[in-house]
Amino acid sequence: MTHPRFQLAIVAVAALALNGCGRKDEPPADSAVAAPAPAAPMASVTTIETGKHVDANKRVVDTTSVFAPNDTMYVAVVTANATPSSTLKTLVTFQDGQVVDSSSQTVQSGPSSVTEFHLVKPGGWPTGDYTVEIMLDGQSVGTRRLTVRR
Amino acid sequence: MPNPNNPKGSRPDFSDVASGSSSAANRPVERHVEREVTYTVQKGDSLSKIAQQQLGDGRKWKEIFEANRDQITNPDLIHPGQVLRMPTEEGRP
Repeated sequence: MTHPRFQLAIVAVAALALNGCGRKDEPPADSAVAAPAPAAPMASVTTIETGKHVDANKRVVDTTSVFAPNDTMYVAVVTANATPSSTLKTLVTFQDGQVVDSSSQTVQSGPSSVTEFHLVKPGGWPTGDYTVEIMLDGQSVGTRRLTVRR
Repeated sequence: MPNPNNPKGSRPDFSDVASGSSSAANRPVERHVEREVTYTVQKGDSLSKIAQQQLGDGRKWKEIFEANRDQITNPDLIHPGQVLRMPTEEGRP
């Protein structure tokens, strides 16, 4: 006949063993964390065009970097994956760094958008070199050198 | 570096520069290409014969007539050498 204390010990060990087996079947506490959602594609500039005219879709139809003093300067910027808060900014400087103009425009959100900037100078552009810097959401994404000749 | 526009060395005045901007969805340019199909009338032709040959149905002579009202007043009277505009699928309702 087995000693009652020994029987108690056997029961206790068996209970612990069963309890341990049960826990093995339970998922770890952290396995229920959902996988992260795929990140939205970043807005980016795909094309920068400069010219004297744009079409109804705001795209430059006569791409050039050389202008006459009385020309209108157009800069068309094509963006991809713009969000409602995406903003383009242009900074136009004359050859010595003198600021000519600075403009910003909220970009039409969507997979592909066109934003046009235009500049006119009724008194005529001084001849020389101009630099247009394009910034998307505060980050410089490209520069274009324009020349005004008589 | 001296600016040749400003021999006196003064900076150019850009205060009259006006600028503007706008943004829109980038849409592919839809170019409507006019496809005009013509037929030169041969000796012995009639509108119904041309309709049969060109449109596959002699009853469509009225479409040819309508498309050429500016040069055909009598559908029974067409002349060799006349260049007729042929109705296309795009032009039909």
